[in-house]
Amino acid sequence: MISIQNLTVKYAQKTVLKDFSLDMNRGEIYALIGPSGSGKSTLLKALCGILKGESGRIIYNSGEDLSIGYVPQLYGLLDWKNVKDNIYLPLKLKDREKNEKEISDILHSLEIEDILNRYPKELSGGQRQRVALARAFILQPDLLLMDEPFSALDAFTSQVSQKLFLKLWSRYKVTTLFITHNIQEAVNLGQHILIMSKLSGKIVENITNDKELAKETRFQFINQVTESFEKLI
Amino acid sequence: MEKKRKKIISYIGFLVLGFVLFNLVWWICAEIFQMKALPKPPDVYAAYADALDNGIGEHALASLRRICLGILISLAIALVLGLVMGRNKVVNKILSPLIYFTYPVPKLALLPIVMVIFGIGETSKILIIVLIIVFQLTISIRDAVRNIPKEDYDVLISIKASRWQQMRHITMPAILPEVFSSLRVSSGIAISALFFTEIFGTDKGLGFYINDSWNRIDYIQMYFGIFMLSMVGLLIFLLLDLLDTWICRWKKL
Repeated sequence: MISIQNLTVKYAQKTVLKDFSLDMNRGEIYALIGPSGSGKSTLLKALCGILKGESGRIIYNSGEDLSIGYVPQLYGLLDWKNVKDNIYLPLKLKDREKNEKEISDILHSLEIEDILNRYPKELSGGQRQRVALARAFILQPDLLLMDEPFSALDAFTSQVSQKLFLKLWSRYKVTTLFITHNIQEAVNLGQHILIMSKLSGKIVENITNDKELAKETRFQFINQVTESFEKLI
Repeated sequence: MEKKRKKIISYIGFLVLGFVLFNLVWWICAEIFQMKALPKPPDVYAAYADALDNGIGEHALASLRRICLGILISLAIALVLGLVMGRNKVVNKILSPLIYFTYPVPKLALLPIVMVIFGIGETSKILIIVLIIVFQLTISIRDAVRNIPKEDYDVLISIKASRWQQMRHITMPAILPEVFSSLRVSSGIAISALFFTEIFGTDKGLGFYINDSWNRIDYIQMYFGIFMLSMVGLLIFLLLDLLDTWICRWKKL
């Protein structure tokens, strides 16, 4: 279990999150949806350490330091490093040994083994996104955070990328929290759909998503999530 | 490979075109004014044997050495100051007024004082070049650091990269294009400043060669000295272009 307790974060002298709490089961995917300005990105940045929390704590049951993989909205690839160096950078910085077999599996799962020598500027949006995913997975983090990872992609590329993500995720089962504005995407990927309110800056609904639902029931489920979401807007 | 070859050929082609245009303008002016003080380009180039006898190569090397040292020392100082000022608001607040006060002071006016303190040798000549270009290099580097979007650091912060690792993998590579651009501007200024510093207290350097020829009313050799000075400048610009293309190859993709 990864437990966020009473997290309060100020951004630009405004309290964006106040006493935010959330428990996440290990090895599950949480999709976070909510109106603009509800503090979703702030939450992710605070969990990453990019923004400093005023108070609160994250409890991780192994007692060790929680390692985090982060995929920002625009992927955060370094233009001056080629794909290989971008992906290997976390290992280099953490002075961790390369497990070539694992790395090769990650690259293969994301279908990017052929573009390792290219620079980010030479990649399509979908390829950039997958490189960012590979970089996040390479440290095999305890918690994967993604800020609208598929939003900049066209519908088709987004579908392909989501499938590749699920393929890779199912190998490592990393606890994942991702932000999306797309309810369909939240339902496709998330085992839990968290709806965040702009007023309270807290999770107002935590809907468990049964991935085995039949098609018809699935549409009903999407409608149910949409209705819950619309109530907040 | 073919694309690269075409690029190199086009680069050389434009260089030659620039050289031809420069000489054409010079020649036209010489024809218009018809003065001894403005000889025609062929007359100047024909005097290369005399220039070699006068040791122009040695003079050019002395100047090149001073410029390179001046630029390298300035770059080292500016990198340290610019990086610290760009990343640390407090240091920037303390040092910025100091730089803004001293930057506009005409450094050549300090030449006599520098010579009194450091003597008339190499140190004062290189120091003047440093004093002239270090401020603008520092400001350019500081601004380049400040212009890096904060989000660029996010991924490294999320994996708890140290400040040095952030500097090494993000700040320094991100500012390189600005550094090269600023170095190009600074090199031109350094060469202009060099001419003045070499007038005093030395018998080596293109500044001395040009001034000495002028005093002897040997306009042909004076122009040959000026031509060599621009060749030294060209060499530095070419070197910077080459380094820029090689180090920042990602920029032009």
